[in-house]
Amino acid sequence: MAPPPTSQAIKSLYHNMLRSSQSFSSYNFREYFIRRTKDSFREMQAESDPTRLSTLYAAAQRESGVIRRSAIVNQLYRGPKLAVELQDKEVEAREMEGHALETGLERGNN
Amino acid sequence: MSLFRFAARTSALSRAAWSVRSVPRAFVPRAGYASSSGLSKDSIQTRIFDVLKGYEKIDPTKVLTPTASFAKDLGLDSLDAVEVVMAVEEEFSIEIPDAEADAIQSVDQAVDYIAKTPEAH
Repeated sequence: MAPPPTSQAIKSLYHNMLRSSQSFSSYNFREYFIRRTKDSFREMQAESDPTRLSTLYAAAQRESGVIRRSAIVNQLYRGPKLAVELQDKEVEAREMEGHALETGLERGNN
Repeated sequence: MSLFRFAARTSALSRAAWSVRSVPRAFVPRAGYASSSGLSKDSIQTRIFDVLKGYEKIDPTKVLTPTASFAKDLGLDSLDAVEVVMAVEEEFSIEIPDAEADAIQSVDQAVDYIAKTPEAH
């Protein structure tokens, strides 16, 4: 059985997993993997049994690789941003665009 | 002869094209290589405070002090501290290596790290 991971190792794995979860380009996957990573590490934090802890740590390590690879694939097939993740500036830009379109239409009708 | 005339004409044309292209553009000021990151400690500190206030587990109405420790004063555990350090990384668009990210345990340590990182902006 592998020795239980140090807290330093757990923290650095947490950092890496959160970072790769954040690099998903689609909103749903990104939010899901961030949430999932946080949950799994909270579970690890609450665990006191060292053998169980090293099992959880090994599983998280495997998952870290999976997340990193799928994030890369997800970036290759990125789609347009969802309405929920548009920043205020972009929303303003969209509204301006819509406004310009409307005035253009009015001008066309007159 | 006609060939030379043609050659002269093309060269004259290309020279005209060159002269159009060489119109001086507006001077774009850029950071000099020798200049510092240009972030004052005050601005770094206010930005870090904003990051902390935006973090879900910190009460935004709480008064933050420059020397507040993540664990003792802000009541964050080690995983929360990792998340805060990540939020700071994102704010200043840098990547902090794990060893140094581990050493950041308080607001002033974060400010010092950003101040000595030239890539931070």
